Amino acid sequence: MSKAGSASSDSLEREIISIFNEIFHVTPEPDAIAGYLRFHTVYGPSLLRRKYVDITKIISKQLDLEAIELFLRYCYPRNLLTCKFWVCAYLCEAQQGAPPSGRSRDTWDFVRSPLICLVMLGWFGVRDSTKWIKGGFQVYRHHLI
Amino acid sequence: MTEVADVIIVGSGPAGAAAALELCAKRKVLMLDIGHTAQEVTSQTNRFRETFGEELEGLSHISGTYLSPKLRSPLFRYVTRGWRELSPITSTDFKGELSLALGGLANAWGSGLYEFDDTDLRGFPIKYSDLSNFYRRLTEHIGISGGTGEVARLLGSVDKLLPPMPLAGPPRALYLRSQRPRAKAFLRRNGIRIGKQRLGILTESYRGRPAYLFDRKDFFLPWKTSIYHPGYTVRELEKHGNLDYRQGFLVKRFEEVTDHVVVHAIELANGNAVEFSARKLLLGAGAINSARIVLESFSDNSSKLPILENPVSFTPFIHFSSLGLKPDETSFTGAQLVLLYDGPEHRDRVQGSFYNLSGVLPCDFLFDFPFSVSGNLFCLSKILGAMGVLQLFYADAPHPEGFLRRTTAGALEVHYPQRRVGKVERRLIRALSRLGFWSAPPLIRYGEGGGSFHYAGTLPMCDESEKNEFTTDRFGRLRCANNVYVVDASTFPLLPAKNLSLTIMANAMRIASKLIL
Repeated sequence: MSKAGSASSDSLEREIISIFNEIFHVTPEPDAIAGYLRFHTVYGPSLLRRKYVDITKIISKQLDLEAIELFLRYCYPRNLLTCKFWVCAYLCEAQQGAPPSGRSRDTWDFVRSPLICLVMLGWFGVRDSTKWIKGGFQVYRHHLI
Repeated sequence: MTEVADVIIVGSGPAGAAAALELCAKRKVLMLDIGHTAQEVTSQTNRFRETFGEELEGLSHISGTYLSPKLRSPLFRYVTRGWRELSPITSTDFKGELSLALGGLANAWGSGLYEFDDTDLRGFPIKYSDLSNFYRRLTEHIGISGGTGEVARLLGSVDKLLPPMPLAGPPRALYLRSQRPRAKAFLRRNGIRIGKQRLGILTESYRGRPAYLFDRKDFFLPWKTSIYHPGYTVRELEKHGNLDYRQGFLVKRFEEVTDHVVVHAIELANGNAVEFSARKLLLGAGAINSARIVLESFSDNSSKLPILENPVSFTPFIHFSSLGLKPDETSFTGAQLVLLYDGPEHRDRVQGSFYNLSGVLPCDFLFDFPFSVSGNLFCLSKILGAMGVLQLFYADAPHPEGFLRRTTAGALEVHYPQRRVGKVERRLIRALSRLGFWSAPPLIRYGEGGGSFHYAGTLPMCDESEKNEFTTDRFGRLRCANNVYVVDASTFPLLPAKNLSLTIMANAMRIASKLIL
């Protein structure tokens, strides 16, 4: 049973590889994977207090990780998936020496003025509304919580 | 065997270091301290370990234990190491931190070094003129940088100041906007003054220490020599042979025997009880630990001592015109601007510090934006550089909910509930929006009890008329003892909304100078 901190190291490795690939578009280095495993050893008990999410099922069924996280963050702010995303983001930042960009850093290089920045935020608002609905649908259809 | 000295100082924080600075030339001074220090910064190649620590302690906040970014940074963990075991506190509403490090909590301070004027010293049995000479000497000793404008003069004398830290990012934009005549008049009508900081940070080489280097590692590299902390003074005095600094001693209590004081301590290396003796004892262990030593010395489990701290709030701002711009590489990661508020929303002056967010890991803010992770990562990349945080400090006075007392088990019970003070933040949000800085009331965060780390007032100085046994006279002498003096912020009867470190140091020097006479 991969409940929070008691997950096997193989499934944790699959988790970090999936999150890094799908969300940050980079491959985790061995040090990042080791850090992720260490986090679960050190903070395992505190993870058990969070709302359980079946991450193994999300990965095996290749569901939309980002959409599910967005939905869960609004419905269950202290859920396990958001916590794992946060850890991965920190590890990715340490790996790259810069905050993760989510996609190629160059993609956002055209955003150099306040107006374009606001347009982008508007676009994210629309995009994430659909993501939220998609995430909610997947959570209940696949019984992820 | 009891070791003997003229004067024993307990603690190496701002108070202990400043008292030693004054005494060492003329007296044989012994300083007792636990004195944790930073690990040597070696050429660590593992950036994961460097960023989060061996046990990933830098990620402890994810598990729900909040710690300020600086104190959770692995190389800064020595600042708060061990106090919960060696100096235990029981509390449900006090979320502060203590330090047993060489230099005390000042190892992780914001470096704001302000003088208290006579308005700030209302309620104190001393005046600015009692401290002014010591402020001047400390300014020369430390090397303080700051502006020279109107606001700077409200923070203290501008003589002998080094040039101010250069501004960058949103704080620079705010400063430039606030200096325009119309904006200045508008701010003045709203009781707001904005100016450059007065900091213990070197903007040029000074007394063998180098000027500040903009490397954005202030939160990750301790003991940057350009940023002053009292450990430098202790090391300097020790190097010149004037101070006998003893690391690794936990002072438990004192007792007065005829004309001298015996100090009982534990040597942490072997757990042995040891005794030291001196004609005078100076307590500079910080407001909470000095009170603990006093209560322990008199085995007092019943007295409730007052405790003060500056209630604090944090309000994030976005500078619209900076959205999408690349963050400035030469940005100082500490407080860049000072804001003073005198208006109808609060009876006392409120002091604020304006920070940008370049010093911390951007991922700290990952879930502070409302979008999906991709959207939030975009915000970290393009919006974080346009953001600043205004930290407001409020004045404090004794109140029934804030107190400490010794428990029968020997721990200290501390109470200081979270306080939401005033409506100043809302006024400031309205006013700063006129200058292009946007925020909203739901974004305001109030610090928890103890969250400002500005602790004071446990053994207050007061006049003869108000005296009780756990108060001090105007020279810091503990009223229930003959040769015990309190030199730290314990003696402050009130706490104005101003960084207190420089005044702690000046007051400690004032008290120490009295002992030389």
